[in-house]
Amino acid sequence: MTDEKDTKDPLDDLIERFLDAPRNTPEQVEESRRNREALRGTIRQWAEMKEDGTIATDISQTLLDGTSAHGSSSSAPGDADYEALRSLHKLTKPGDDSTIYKRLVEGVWTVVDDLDQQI
Amino acid sequence: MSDLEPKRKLEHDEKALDSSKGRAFDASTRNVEPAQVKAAENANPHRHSGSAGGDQEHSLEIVGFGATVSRKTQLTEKDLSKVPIELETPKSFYATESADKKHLTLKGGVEEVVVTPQAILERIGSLPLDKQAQIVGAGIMTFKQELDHQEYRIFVGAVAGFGDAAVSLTEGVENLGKSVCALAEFSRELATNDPAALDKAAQAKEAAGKLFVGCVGLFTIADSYLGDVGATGDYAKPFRDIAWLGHKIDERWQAMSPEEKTRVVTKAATENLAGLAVGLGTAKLAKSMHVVEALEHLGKDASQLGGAARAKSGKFIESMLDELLPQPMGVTPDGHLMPIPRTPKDSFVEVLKPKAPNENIMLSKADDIGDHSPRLSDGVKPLRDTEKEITAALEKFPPSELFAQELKQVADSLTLRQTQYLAERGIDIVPVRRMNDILPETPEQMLGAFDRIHKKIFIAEEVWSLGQWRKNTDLMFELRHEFGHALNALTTADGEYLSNESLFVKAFKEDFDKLSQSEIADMKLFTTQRTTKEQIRDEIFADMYAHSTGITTSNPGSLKMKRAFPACLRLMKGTPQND
Repeated sequence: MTDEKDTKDPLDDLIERFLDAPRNTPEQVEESRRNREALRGTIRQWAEMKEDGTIATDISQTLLDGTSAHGSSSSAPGDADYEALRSLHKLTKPGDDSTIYKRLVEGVWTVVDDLDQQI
Repeated sequence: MSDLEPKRKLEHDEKALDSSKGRAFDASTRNVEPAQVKAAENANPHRHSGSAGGDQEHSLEIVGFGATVSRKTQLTEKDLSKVPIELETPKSFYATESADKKHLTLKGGVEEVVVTPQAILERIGSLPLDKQAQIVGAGIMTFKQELDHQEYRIFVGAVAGFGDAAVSLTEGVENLGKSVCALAEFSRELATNDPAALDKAAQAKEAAGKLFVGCVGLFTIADSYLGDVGATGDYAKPFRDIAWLGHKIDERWQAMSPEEKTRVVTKAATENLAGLAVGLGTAKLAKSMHVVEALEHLGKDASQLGGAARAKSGKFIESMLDELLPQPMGVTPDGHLMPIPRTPKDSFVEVLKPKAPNENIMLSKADDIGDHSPRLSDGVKPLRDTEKEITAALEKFPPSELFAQELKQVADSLTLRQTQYLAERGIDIVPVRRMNDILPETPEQMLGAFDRIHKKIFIAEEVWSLGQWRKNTDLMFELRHEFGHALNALTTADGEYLSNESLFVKAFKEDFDKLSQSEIADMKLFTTQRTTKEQIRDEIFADMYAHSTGITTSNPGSLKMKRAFPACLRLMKGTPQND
């Protein structure tokens, strides 16, 4: 048994552990589906001001068709988007970080307090 | 040119006919046979065709400078060079006697041959293509190799029929030589991915604009030369480079949608031509298949206009080329070759996106969104709707071959089982230039995406960071992150995401309960809202899966999540708690 576990591919092992565990009921699966539907057209955007003043961002996005996208980037003082980012995330000093949510409203990414807030 | 056609029937002509005493019909006559009309017209003693000489095309002629110009015989600056020769008649010098016969007045003039640079270009442009090729080819060689410029001037003067005595030939021929050389060098550098092309792009565009409005269709000349003389000719190499550039411009044009072509033409016309746009037929340009040929033709039409209008037309051509020239390549600090963006945001999708002031508006201002893109706000479907549209977008904005190879190597670094997993579910890994080339609604910072519907993992070559498009340097981690999304979404038979299964929810809760209030507040990762948690779990599942493979990332946000979710990471790794 030990040998079998040692030779098992980590991916197979991971899938097996998930599928062997108690699974969600059909009602829970349906609720998950509804929640995923509600996530469509949303962005979670995290930003942090680094020691040198550079702002690092990390973005997770669910598109209208359910595609999930992920990205990260930096913006240094003087860059075109720097002041907008600093202001949007209310970053005043190194170490400050914040997360904002956006929802696609009539084609415009609109900052919302939380993603449950329906437009 | 139809807008410029004279009206055949003028109102006052009709009134004049009404008042004519010689009319053949009285007021009560309404219905007559055609033969009667003809007979009546012939009986009119004042009958006139409307043309001075019987041919309306010659009804208005301007005579002077040794030439006669009419609608049929349009002349431009090149034709004026003949003037001095024709004016050298005995009448140029004459004497008149005063009334008292005591004084004799002698009148005469001194003529100097003045050939403007435009006239030189036009004269060359009117030569047969093989002669144009000789002049252009010799110009490239002369200016590239710094050969004797005077010899070249004499050559141009002889071939174009100016003679070698024209003092003012110097400036024009120098301009011609520099222009053709600039364009040839730029073409060669682009074709060989030489970063020097970036510095010469502006010069090359200006050169093309000047040559086109001078009727010198460099791309047509190059094609003609290669077609007639082939690879063995003396100038085959520079002409091959120029022809290559012309084909690339046409390719880029043909890859554009009609909507995009219209935008490019309209933008260039609005910025440069104003009222001239209609006369030059820019609307027709947007519908042409071969833009290079169309621009050369537009240049020829513009050569008939005055100097200022010609200059505007040259600028219009420059603007068009600005959009259509292939992207110069550069070497990144880590030695990779990649396209250098001409402008920070140059894709069609980005132009249509909302402008920055509206991009991050607060909910309270959602109704006041100003002049954002109508395309996005009017409920028009985004660029990518179907498999076909994805393919079209990828063809339109292809990533570099180098990046495609690099991503293939990264994909090859997946384990055999991971590769099998992708194959079993029909998931493709697709390199893209920028994520919003295919997903218009994504921010430009996106590195990758997992498209559940079309079963594709997209990885971007470039990402907007530190004020410019930069190479995506996180490929190894990003591919595994997106693999994590695919694994999360496509493993169960009932469609449930693994991140929603009790095993993961339990690990998630364990990590969440240990986070301090300041961490929760700082990261704002965890709220009581269920949709937020849903998204966060999906994201953490993908990220922890990538971390569990042992690949590292430089993304500080991802590293922060790794520290915040140790239980989730352990679950993905399949390791006990004390590991």
